[in-house]
Amino acid sequence: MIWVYGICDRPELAPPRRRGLAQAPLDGLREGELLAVFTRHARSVGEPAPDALWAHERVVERLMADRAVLPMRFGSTVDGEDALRRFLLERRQPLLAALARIAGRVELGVRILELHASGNGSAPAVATIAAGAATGRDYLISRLRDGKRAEQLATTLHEPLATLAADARLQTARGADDVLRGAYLVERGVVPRFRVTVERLQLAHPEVAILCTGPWPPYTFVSDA
Amino acid sequence: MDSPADKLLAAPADLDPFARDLRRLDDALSGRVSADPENVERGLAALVLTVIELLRQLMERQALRRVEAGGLDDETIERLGSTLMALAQRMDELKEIFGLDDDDLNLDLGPLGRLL
Amino acid sequence: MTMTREDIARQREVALVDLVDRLLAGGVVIGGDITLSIADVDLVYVGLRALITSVATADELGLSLPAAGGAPFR
Repeated sequence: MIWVYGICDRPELAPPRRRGLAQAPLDGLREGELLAVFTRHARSVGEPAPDALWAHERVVERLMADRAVLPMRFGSTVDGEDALRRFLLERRQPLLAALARIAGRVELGVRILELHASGNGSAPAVATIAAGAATGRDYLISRLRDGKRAEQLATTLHEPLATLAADARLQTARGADDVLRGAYLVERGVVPRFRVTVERLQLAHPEVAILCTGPWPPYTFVSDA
Repeated sequence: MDSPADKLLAAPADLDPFARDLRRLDDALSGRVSADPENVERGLAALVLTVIELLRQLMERQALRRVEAGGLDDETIERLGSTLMALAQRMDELKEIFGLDDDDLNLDLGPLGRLL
Repeated sequence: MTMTREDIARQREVALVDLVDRLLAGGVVIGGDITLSIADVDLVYVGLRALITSVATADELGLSLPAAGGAPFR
């Protein structure tokens, strides 16, 4: 069984001399302009426990240090090298295109939550809003207003960040407190400026909490490769 | 472990608001729903209410768009608003009956993400 | 500023959330739909998710949903 970590450019570069999951040594399979980096395993590995996740991640990040790499989803396994080679041949074009899109770039994650005066982090119950509303019309107006305010806030926070990014992917809100949840593809050299911008936005908006993580390999920007 | 904490590029001093996400992490990594009867029932209630809540939110959003688009008479607007308000209140009651809060309704499906 | 062990643990956990999101739902996929087998999620949940996603998409596209007549919780 073969566990794949990433697909890289600069295939003439040997895989790094380090270990991956279960301490297996890294190996590479070259096909044209692509290099797939993997480890071999006699039995199944890769229960998604934190240690294994970080082990996978560290390999991808090590690859990212000196080449462009398309990170593989955790658990990307194939039976053997023939299957891997077939994959590289069949998907040559989209993989090369994806590499071109992400070369020299990293992914930064941003999560923005709305803080509430109560301080316990929970959104006011809808009933509370409704209790203040005398009529159905009042309810509609208050909901419309809430929606506009939320949209406005999200745009205000997203735009300065999007300007610094080559690409951005926003997720739909997951909870009542969610203002923004997204991934930004950013040139490596721009990361410090991105961070400063996040800090500036946080100072300007004490009503939210902004979390920025990364740099990550561009997982969010390659899933259609 | 080379400090995963290094991955926090910018963060508030208080990370508690982001702590909610930690709860679903356990579910994602263990991938199992608890098998004991009380939890199964509670889990089922959460699942059902999540679906209902999602539909309620979608209906509300749809209604708000229609109201914004204009062309509805006052009576219709009032009826729409009252119905949505009643739905929202009913949802709150149901949550209370089952002892579930908003976080409980954001059911985790592992890497498939939260429903809401 | 000194950080408590708890602070560090919390930071690690928060970073882990982002890591899990990326590694399990992002990245190039090889070997078919592996997400399910890793998370070991029951098919009924998958079906439900697909249903809800399609409903949500319909809403985003501005397609009309079945009319909501009266309170549905009787």
